[in-house]
Amino acid sequence: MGPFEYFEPLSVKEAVSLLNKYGNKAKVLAGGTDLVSLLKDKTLSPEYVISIGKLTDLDYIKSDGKKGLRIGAMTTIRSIETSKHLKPINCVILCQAASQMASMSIRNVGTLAGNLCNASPSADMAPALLVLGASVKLVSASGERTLTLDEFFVGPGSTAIKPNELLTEIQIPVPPPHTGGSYIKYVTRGGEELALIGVAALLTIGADGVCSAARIALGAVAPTPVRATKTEKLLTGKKIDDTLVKKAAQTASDEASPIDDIRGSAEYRREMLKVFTRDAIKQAAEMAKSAA
Amino acid sequence: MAEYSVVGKSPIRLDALDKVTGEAKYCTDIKVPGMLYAKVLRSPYPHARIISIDTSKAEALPGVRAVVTGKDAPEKRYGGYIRDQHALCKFIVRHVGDAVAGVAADTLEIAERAVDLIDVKYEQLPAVYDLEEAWGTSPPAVVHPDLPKYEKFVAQGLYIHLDNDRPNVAHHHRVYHGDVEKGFKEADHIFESKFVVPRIQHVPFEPHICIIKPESNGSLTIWAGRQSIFRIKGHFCAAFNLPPSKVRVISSFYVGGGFGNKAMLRAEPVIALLAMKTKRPVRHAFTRDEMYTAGGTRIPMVVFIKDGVKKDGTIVAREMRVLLGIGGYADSGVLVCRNSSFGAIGTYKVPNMKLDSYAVYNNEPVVTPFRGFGSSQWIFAIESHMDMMAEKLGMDAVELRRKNVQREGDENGNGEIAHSHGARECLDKVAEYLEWGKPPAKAEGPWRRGKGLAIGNKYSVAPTSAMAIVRFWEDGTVEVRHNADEIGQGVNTAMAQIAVEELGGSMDKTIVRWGDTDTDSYFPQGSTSQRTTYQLGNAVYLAAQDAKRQIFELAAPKLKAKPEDLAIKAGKVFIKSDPSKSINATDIFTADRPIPPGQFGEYVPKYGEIIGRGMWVQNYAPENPDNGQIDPALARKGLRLVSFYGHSCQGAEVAVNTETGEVKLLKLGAASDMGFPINPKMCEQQMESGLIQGIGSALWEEVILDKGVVLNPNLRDYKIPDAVNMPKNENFKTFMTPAPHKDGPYGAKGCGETQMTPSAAVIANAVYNAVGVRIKQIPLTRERILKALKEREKSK
Amino acid sequence: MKHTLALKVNGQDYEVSIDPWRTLAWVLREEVGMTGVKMACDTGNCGSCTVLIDGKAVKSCIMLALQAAGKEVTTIEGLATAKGLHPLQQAFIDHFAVQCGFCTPGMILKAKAILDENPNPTEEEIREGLSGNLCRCTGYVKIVEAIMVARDQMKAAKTGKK
Repeated sequence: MGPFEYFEPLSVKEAVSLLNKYGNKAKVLAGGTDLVSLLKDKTLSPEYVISIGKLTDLDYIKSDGKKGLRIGAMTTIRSIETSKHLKPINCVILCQAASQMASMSIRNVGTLAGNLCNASPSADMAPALLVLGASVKLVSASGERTLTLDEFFVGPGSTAIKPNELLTEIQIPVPPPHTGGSYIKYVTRGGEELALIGVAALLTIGADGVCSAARIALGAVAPTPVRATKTEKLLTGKKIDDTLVKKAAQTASDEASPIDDIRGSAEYRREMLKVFTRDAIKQAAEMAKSAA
Repeated sequence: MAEYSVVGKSPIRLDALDKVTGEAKYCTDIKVPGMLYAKVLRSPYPHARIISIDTSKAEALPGVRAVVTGKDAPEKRYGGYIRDQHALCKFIVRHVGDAVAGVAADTLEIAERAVDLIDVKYEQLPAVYDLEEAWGTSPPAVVHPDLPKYEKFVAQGLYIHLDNDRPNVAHHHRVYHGDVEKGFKEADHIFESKFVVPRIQHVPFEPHICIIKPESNGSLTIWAGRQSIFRIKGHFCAAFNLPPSKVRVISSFYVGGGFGNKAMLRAEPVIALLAMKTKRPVRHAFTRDEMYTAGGTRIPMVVFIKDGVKKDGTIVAREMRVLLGIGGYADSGVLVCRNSSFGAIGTYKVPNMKLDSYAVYNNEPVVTPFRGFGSSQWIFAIESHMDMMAEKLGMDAVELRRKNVQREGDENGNGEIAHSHGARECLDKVAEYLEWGKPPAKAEGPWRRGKGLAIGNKYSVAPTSAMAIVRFWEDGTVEVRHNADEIGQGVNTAMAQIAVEELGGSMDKTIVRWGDTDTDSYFPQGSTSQRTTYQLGNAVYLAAQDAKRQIFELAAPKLKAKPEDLAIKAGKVFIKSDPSKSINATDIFTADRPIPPGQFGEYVPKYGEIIGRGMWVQNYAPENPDNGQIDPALARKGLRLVSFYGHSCQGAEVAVNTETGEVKLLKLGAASDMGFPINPKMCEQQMESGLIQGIGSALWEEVILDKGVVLNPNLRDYKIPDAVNMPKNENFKTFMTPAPHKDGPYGAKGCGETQMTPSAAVIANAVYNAVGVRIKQIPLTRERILKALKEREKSK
Repeated sequence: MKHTLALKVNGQDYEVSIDPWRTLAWVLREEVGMTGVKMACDTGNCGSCTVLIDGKAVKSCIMLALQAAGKEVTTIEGLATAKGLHPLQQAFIDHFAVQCGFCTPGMILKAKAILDENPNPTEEEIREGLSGNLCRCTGYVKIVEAIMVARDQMKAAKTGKK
């Protein structure tokens, strides 16, 4: 690993000015659980590593009615997993996704922002954030902008973040009442593992049983974590019953574009999408019923 | 059974305190002053000719102290059984990961950078991967065209047989017993199947590591975290034409797991070249990645099995043809080719048997011994087949096994007479635990439940021998000196228990010294072939007797008795017929001055120190290398080809998800016939360990290759069992059903390897019982199970 | 450029001068001399290098040493006190939870983190917590047993004090 120069800015301003100076020769280190692995196996060889570990004021989970839920870039996965704030605002899907990521030791260090910036197709937090309609706040020396996650992910390991930008916050609109969500990660052994597939479902279901809004997102079955828009359309405005769920699961399987790799074949992934899209929708629907 | 004070009990492990406090030292923790760090440049191609190597840029890098290539390697090839390997490749690379050059530098980082600067030009050659293709008479590539000219020698009972028609065959082993054709004619049913077992890796947690230091007298000292330091030394001396007095191998520290992986030379020859060139100590450690490509793996096999069975379930003939993929070099693969056939011999009575196994070179990574030494792969096929046959015959699978399992005194396929055979008792125990015959509980939703079991066996190879030293200290401390390897199995504890038992000492007053070929206790084959408890245990027992003889000789005049009338227990030497007449055992020590109260004597008359020596040489009958049979006259005298056979039965209850193929382990059990448990808790450790490692191989583990390149050389994608995969402790039980061995210490024999041999078939059988699909290739991945379920749907 | 790293290891202050790309595991082993930190996979998958940072379990092979600046690091060498072994260490000895020992330091520290966070975990919660700390020798049976025993002892000791 290395050599590289290492900076530990004490403010976002300082961090951003370093990024402005070093641009694509630099990599930002938050928790480092992904980045250090990539540095070790030489997938990445930046000349500069800019740690934002000292920016402890970016470690927060805040929610208020107007701005919605905001999570700072230095918030660990473990903090999200154990946060008590998320359930009352129908965001428990985030805790659920966090609890399935890697192992406790990695969740203690790894951050939500890092998980997104690493942009692995199998990133565990991405499908949950996609269905929640999350955006990311990107700050540069010349200002800041906000991108939705759909815009953020570009390809495997690649995002729309510019070399001079720092992701400082993840913004999540608070889901409407009667919304339930579920993330299912499927692996081939069990234990600390990368997802073979991931399925997130977020449904809003009225008292009449009709699904007024549906979001489905899939992990590890396309170059980036993706929304399954056809599946969403199919569900929206309808009553959720077994026939519809089965059809939705098939649609999700059809609209995904998995590949064969050492973790499993495309065919097996499509099969598993059917099973776990079904389960995720059912669980989300159950939770929507009991949700505030 | 005799009453023992220390053996048969479970005193805490002598290594446990150091291991829970971080005090335990491993080879990876050793630093030798002036030590350089080495990196090996490895071939990216499965088969290629080396056209040129330019090391100038690497040599120019500051901090680089030496670069070596094939030119620096001895002309002579090395190898345990076939000398087919140069210390560094001179002309041809034969697998991805083959060693091409080595660098020693001031730091590991510099060595790594230097290796990247070495410019090697290769001409790629056609390569061969597929086992059946490689075995063929005109394979796409011949891995060692000069094989007939290579030096081969007989070792551990192995006589190399090449095959004139099949150029990649390094050894063809044959066991012909009875008349298999006649047997098939007598059979009412004939069953035939093909099974496939892939390459797996041992994943010892401490990767291979060595430090080699050239000494001023021209000798070499090798610190190495390995199994069987004398074998390492022997092979090393042969590789470099050095006499025994010039090589010292030290492993007097803990080794982070072995499982067979550390029994042969790995990077030591390359590192020795660097050490000799720099005249400095050089350290080399494998990366985890290298463990998969160049660290040695288990041998993949294709197993063809044909069984002839009577209507009542009696097996009358068994024919097996087994291809072993040994990769680019023979290493121990040729010996596995012979010895793995014992997997077909040690369990059942089969009057007519024909076994042909072929060690086949191909352009895939090197192989090395693995817990079970090949028996596991054969037994996966045999024990799957037993269940398949039972179903077709309409017999219960346990009944079929009971009917055919060997008992004491039965003749086996090598012509040996079975002794210490506890397979039947193990089977009964596990069947009872699984509530065999009672259908599994109904499962919910997509889940289906099933039960399965299988019997395994594993021999310990002969000829073999062991020596040990036991010293009785002036303060009553019992010291054991041995040269086995403390790879985690607890050898120090078990050996101390034996010496303490015999010398009436106590476990908190023991010293164990081990792991140095320059000391005087020879153990030529070390902790491999699950021999340690039996071989070394006998040597320690004999050494303790020798020490006891000296103690009694010196105590006799003090007690006014004859030495043969004395006994020793709890620190006292006493007269057997009148225990009230006793002295402290330490009273035999004296000094040149009066001994103040509370202090100890310094020496004993005549001997100086009480040092007992024990040597155990295993009685053995050689085989006829053409048919694997031993002389019936010798067999009748109780002589055998092996030291002993260990037996085990394992069982599982599983739930299989018919939508995903997932297998949940609901209940696991294992039974062993270890002869006598010297330390029952440590026997449990072996049973749990073997079963879980076997389950890893059954469900998840496979080194995935694409044209000789390992695609998953890491613990992210090579998946070994995790704590969450196992059932709760209340559903994971082990049982001891000892079958005493006439020659074992207290009747004991080894059990560590046996425990892995049935596991894969247990899972395959349980999955079949749950969902009715027979998977003949491990691992039984979720995807593979689901595919089989879908195919069955289609064919319905 | 080398960086000066100040950190507390097992209650003692250390200041070392290191290249920024050094992992915490490397620095603990090579600069601080805590060789109880073991490295088996070097990719953050096995957990042998587990240490506690401010009481939380981390995998020190995929963390830069500089990330631990100013923090309190506990390695296996720091677990026993003048009063004796930690109950987990004693239980690992008594219940034969140790074989080759290479995973043991990480396993014990992970167990401590589990029990510190939840003094009364179920067996499932213990196994869930251990996930990502792999052992190739034991089959986990005796490790889980030892942790359950230590859990009960620690609980009893606490109630006893009250």
